[in-house]
Amino acid sequence: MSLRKIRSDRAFYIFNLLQTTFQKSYSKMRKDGWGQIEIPASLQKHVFKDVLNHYAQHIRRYGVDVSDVCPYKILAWSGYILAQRLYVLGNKESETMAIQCISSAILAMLQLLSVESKTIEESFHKKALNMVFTEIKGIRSRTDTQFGLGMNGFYMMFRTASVCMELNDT
Amino acid sequence: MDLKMNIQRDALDFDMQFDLRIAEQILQEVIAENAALEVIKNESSDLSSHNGIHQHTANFIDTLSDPKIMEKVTEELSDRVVRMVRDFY
Repeated sequence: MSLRKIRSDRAFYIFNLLQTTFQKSYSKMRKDGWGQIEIPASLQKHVFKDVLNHYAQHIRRYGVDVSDVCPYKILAWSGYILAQRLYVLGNKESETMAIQCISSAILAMLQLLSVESKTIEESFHKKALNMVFTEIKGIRSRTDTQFGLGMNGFYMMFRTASVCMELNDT
Repeated sequence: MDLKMNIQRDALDFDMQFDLRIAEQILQEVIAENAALEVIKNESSDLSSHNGIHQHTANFIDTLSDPKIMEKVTEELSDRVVRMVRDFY
């Protein structure tokens, strides 16, 4: 069980979808403030490597036979890890960046679901954002993590939507 | 502020880049680093039902190699991100 069947180009484009969306949303929100932001290449490489390392550990832990890259894993884990790296407890600016990052992952995953003719009820988009941020904040402040949604739950939420079937389909 | 300054300083390091070649290099590094810990697939394992990618999704992701399509998709997504973040507060 390894990542050998993963196509690096696809993993790269999926990762790029997240980080470009994040960067653009930042510029749009900060027209009157900082202006543009660019995630440094060194941080992109670290996050990308952390995601792939987690991917390798995940498939070993659960005995997953990988046939190609799972975009939901890349998006959910990249969004989570990047948000975690950007978030500084008590810093409002970094809090907004973390929230933007999680939102970028959610909306990118919803985009993929729409390609698969699926979606998730809108109220759950907000719940996911709130719960993932609660988890990231809670890990730093050592409070409230029991109310949070971790990186695996974040991925599973969207992956489950992707593979769910109606009884009529079976 | 430190965070902002660090990000801006790193962004000015033109020698560093993250591209397809680096992505492939990182994937190979991770495969090599984890090789010793790999498990031979157990024939009785029933966990490999769907661990890849839907064909429609794969086709969509492949279109993102076109910078114009990536630009268009991320432009739309970023507008939605802004609305979602403003809704959050």
